[in-house]
Amino acid sequence: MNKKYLLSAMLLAGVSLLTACSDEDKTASSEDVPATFDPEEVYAGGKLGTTFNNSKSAFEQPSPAVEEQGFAHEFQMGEYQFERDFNQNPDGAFHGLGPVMVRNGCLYCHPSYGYGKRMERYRATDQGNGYLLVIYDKQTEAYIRSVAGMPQTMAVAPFKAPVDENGISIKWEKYTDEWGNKFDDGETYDLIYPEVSIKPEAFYSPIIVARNGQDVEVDASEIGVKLEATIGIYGTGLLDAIPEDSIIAQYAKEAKVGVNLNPAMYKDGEYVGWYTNALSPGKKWVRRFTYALSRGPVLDAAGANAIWNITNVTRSDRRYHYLDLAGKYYAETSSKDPDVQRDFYQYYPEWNKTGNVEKDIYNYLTSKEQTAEMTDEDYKNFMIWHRGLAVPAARNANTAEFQLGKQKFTEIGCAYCHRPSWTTGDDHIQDPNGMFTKDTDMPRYPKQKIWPYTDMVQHKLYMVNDIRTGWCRTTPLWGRGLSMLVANHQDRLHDRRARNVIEAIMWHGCQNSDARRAVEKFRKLKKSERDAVVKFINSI
Amino acid sequence: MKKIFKYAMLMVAACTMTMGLVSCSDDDDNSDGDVTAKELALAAVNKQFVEKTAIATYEQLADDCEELQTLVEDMDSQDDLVKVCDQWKKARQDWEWSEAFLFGAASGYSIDPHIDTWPFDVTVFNFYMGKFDLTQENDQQVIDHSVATTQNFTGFHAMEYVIFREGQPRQFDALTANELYFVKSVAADLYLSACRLEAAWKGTDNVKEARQQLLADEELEPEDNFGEEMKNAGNAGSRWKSATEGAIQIISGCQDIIGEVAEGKIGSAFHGDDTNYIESPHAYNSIQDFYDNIMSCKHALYGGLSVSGSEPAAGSLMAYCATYCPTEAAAVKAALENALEKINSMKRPFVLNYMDASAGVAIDALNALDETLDALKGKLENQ
Repeated sequence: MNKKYLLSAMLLAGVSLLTACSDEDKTASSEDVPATFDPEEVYAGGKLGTTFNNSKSAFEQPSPAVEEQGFAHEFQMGEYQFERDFNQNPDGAFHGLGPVMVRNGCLYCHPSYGYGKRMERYRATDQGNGYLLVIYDKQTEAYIRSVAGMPQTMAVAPFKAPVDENGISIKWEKYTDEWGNKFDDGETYDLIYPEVSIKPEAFYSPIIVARNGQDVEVDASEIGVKLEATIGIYGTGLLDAIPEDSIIAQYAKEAKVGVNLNPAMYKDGEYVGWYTNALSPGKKWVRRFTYALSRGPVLDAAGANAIWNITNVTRSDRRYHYLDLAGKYYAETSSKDPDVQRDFYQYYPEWNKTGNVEKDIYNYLTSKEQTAEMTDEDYKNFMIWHRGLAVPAARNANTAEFQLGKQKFTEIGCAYCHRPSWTTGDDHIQDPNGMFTKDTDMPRYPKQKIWPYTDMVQHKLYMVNDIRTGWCRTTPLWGRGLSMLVANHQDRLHDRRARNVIEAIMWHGCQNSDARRAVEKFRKLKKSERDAVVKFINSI
Repeated sequence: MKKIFKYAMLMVAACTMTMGLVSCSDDDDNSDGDVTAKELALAAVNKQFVEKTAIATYEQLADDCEELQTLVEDMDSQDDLVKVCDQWKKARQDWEWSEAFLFGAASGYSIDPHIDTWPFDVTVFNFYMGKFDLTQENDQQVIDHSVATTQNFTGFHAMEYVIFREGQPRQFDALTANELYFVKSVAADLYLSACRLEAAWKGTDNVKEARQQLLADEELEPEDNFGEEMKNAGNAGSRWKSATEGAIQIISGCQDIIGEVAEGKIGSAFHGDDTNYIESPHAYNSIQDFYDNIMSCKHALYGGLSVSGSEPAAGSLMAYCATYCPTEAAAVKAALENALEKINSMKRPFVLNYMDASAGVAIDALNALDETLDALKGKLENQ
């Protein structure tokens, strides 16, 4: 018997003993040993995707699949891409920063490999600030066209930031819900939400939006600003392994009982939200990542995108820069900027191609044939790391409080959207970018029972200053309870308005919220039962 | 950062479940339940770690960074520059000695990446040194802001680049006025970070008044007292839910840096990736960094900054383990000494010899040490 199976057997032996104890010691265990304990739920990421490191480094561990499938070194090297700042050196690891950036590296937004935290201000260099600015046309709710979908507030010389972050204001306003922020037994809680604004003069280029198929310049008063914070990275490889037909079946199940679904995803009994990529003509994938469900397979999802567009480090499949949504306004403004013109050739002598500095600046910024700054090997290692991050094992699963919390979580309806478990499929590698084609390219997680606590579907909470469009994919809950230990905060929800689990739950209770009834039932629980629900959520 | 999955942890999980079963009342909540003798003993161990290792290390780091800043401010000759280089190595050693417990303020406040990221952004440095006149306040503000907010334009490796070349102090006369201003800014920021670390583990009220004032002036007073939380593990207000969890964190912290040294600091270059992955290349201090990182583990496990040889201090985690898990503790001791010896035997300087076989031997020794800590951790959890 090899080491793996020997130890697995020991694990099962431990579980067997547990069962035996509860059988033999009923008087002592009736309150303490749960009757419904499922040993599998400890393995939040399945046998191939769970780490039992529940310490400070819990969010940065490789999955068992990484080692079993021979990716340990690649994982380590990929992690370096994540944890180091990029620089302006002409070559070598981590070079290629700019011309404009959302951040210099990943850790700013993912403190200790975790989630961004609630911030009092927007500064790209503030550690833990995982906010992305969402700047949109109030009339259409579409992103404005003159900045990027993830607007940059940083630039390397001689360029200037598309948005001057000194002009960004975040104010946290108090909110009182219809119950006066109080449970019937007198326990109280506080709710706050962000009001965000950007001064008109903070925009480098004119503010342009699309209306009726035309780009038009509008006044700053016609645009809105919201915040979206980074979510977890670990476990995304496992979510990627859920079969598409299982996700579509979840939509069908919810549609059948009348759940309000985003018509852009599911309509008239059919899944319509297919994700496509011009690099893979004729192919389509179910959407599964980001709040807005803007992405399909993980190899073309938020991480694959971020390692390029957050730092603007080009690579062989993206030999161009991430600028404004229209792809021209930033270049136009920069190319006409006397300050940029004055210094451009000093910094980019190789782009002195026409002698017309305005033209050369524009050509540089909009070129689709930039030199690839990140090597394919580094990018591949990064994605191996990304897909290889393990999910922390559930804690306290054999305690009575966990099981009581689980019972109430299910009874009051939380588990409907926060679907506890899924089973992964064969997990063949899917990459809409076409960079990775073989199953041996990446760590894989076939046939695993996983416990992410999400239905992979969008719902609406109707919060004040809600997420743009209101539609938000149910966030996986796995591992979140370790955030305080790992990243020194426990802020939740898309803009981190909730500073603890209770606040997060109560923000689900707004009028018309899809979770309204669950919150009404939560309010009727005894305090010990509410505490058990919180304990459960912090343990899974 | 530890990057090797340990199957042993499956066993830990199994045993944890078994233990929960045996007691049939196990709950790691912060409740006022029965406190076991083990919990009491490990609470004392954690207290010893906080006071004798963590706080002692950060006090020394702050003191040495303060001295470093003074020397940098006064630097006016080649002799002064040599003193600065020597002091850089002292402060550097303090920092490397802290890397077994990056949990807490170093990572929670992202001080680790802020003061210890490499490679240094030489391109930006050259641009800035050529572009700015650092006698001018506006230009100074640009530099100070970059030093205060970035990761690869600040910290130990920024200073290293300015004051060292090929393992030796640079020629003082070659330093430009702009470079002198830059290195002063970096020294001030390093000292500020060290003060923050000390205060975050010791409590702001317990650090020197001048440091309290500095932190207040910079609005960087820590919100946490990690030392108190570790000492109060298992009680309300601590992020560590039991004393055992606190003790396990100490071991995990050691494993994190052991994995980082083995697979990252040594391994990334040894496996032929990119020399940009090598830390402290200009001071030729890489192998000393590796050695001090493992000494950091020794300090954390053996209790205190002055431990030498293979005997732990009374009241330390290893002293506890020597009594209650003697087999595993002995294995850790042997593996720890072996790892230190193998690192010390690496061919120097690392930046010129990173693919030498001795690096591979050191990696193997570090991985073996990691295995012994896995076993120790499993035993400790399941007592």
